[in-house]
Amino acid sequence: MSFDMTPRAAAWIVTAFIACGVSASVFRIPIQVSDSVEILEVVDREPSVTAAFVQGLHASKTRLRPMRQVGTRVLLDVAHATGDHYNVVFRGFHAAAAALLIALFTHVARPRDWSGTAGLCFAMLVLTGLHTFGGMMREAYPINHFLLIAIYCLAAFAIAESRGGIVADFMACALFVIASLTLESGLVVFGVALAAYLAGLRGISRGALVAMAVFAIGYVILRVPLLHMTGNVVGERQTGYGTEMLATSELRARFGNMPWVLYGYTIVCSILTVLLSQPVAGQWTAFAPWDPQAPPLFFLNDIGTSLVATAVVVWYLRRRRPPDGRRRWRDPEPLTMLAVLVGSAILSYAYAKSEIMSAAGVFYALVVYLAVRELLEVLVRLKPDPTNSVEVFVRLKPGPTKSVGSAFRQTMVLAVVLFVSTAWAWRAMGLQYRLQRGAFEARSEWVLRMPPFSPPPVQPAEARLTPRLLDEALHRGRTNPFLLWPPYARLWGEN
Amino acid sequence: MRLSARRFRILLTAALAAPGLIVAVITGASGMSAWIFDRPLVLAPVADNLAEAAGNRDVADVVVMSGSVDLNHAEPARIPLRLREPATLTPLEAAVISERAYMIRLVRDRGARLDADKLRTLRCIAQARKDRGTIAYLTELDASPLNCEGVKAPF
Repeated sequence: MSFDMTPRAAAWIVTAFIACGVSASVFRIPIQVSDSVEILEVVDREPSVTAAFVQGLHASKTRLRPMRQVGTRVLLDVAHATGDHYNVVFRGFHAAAAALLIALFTHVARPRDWSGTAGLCFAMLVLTGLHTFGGMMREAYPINHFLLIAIYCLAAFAIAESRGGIVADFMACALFVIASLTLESGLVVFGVALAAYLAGLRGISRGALVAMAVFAIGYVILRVPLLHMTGNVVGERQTGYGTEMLATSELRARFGNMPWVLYGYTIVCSILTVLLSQPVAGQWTAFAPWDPQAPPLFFLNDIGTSLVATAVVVWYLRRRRPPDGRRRWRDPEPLTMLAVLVGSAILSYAYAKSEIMSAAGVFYALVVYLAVRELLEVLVRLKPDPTNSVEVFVRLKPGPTKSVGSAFRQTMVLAVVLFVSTAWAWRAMGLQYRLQRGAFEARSEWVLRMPPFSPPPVQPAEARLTPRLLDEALHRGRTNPFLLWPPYARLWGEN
Repeated sequence: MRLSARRFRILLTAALAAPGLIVAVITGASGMSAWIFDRPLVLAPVADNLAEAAGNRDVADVVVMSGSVDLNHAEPARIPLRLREPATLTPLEAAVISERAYMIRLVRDRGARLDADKLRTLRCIAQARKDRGTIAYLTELDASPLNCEGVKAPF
């Protein structure tokens, strides 16, 4: 039997399998009661997409997100046109978006050889195992806009890598406008385009960048003088501080007079959450008192794997690329990752939320891919490079470097690589657990957040869609994580 | 024995890729099963009966199943969070063992009978489990002094 599969084909097969697994689990989660039913009912009463857009312009004094209403309205129209199958349409859209993100990731990574394909297998674990990825998959409002922002960012980067042209410029500008009117964190699409340009990619022209800057100014004008909107302030939403999760009243009492302390803390923590998997939403959960019944293996695995991956990334960023000796951090992917990481963190100043950092998590995984691929090549050579610091990973004790390739060291390198990769695989499997649990909880909400257990999310007289949504939710996504034995939940950080 | 550079490269590539490949195959196959049969292969167990649903906090399954089964019928139920072994339980007993008062209320609302004897049994189960939420809920239904002599816990 001949084995002549190309590395590229193998990479796409792995991508297809991962995308299938993630999207299927996403699809099974019913539309939630919280953050979904109310907006569905409100938008459904709007007579048109335009009316939904206008309603979105005036829906909040701090959030300019009219594309949320537009997307919801378009999907509602599709659902109405196809027999009122709301869950099929909304959850199908979410599942398709999840698959698209994973496919875009591979498209941008472009593995060309077996080292690249192996690196992609590892990077897929990092991508799907990061807690910032789970936030894009588990919940919807009723569309997960954080997922859309991550897609827009990756798509903008893919355009920047292209040959460019008028269509590319138009697409990039359209992505920026749509993203910025979807979520405030959509503004980082401009950061992606700018960083890619500074790093040498010319798929998005200078003219398009200028146009984006003009749109950004227009965005500010729309927000402030026209709609009289303000930014988020202290105490608008709960957020973590130290090992505590502070309620809005506690935040106002503690930081009302010195908001910059909280803002600075939240920005730094938002960056760290991508690099270290801690803190989560500003809260250092790993350092809170441990439940003696639930040993914190989950924290050890999460922080340990993230530390290793981030160390490899830092090593990679400090390396020089062969042709011109330029540091790797100035390459397109790393520079863009830094831009998205810092940009998203700044936009998250008032409260920390893992989902806001999800686009940064995607680019982090992309840089992990590049770093691991290069590390693999360096380890295979097993010769010390005097200009680089790879010996940190392979040198076990000081001494002559000619013994780097000894059998013992080869075995150690193989064992460490397999161990780290397996630990990340465990994290990636945790995503599947969380998605099944998400389905269970979303289904349960349709009983516990409804009468007689709770007040209805929408008054019965205004609830045109709710009865149908309830019926659909109860009859889809059957699963019960509490039936699992042993209690995996504790190993993935849930009770 | 020192590996040749070629063999080392192959093994290193495999060590890096293998866990990801395994996850891809497992989750991909599970995903295909979910798409085709609405039944993932991994990490998605379902309750076999109403008692099992009630014992494992599955309010949605209780609502769905209660339309077609007897709510007073005892059945074997796995409740891994609470019981080491499966036990034969009525949905109400399982609801008390779940230590969720809302579950007892839901099972009653869906039509389970609760006479004085049955209520005493449930109170004794709650007492044995020392769960304050279910004890308080059941005490609201019957605040008389509790005597658990002769009441056999079903687990």
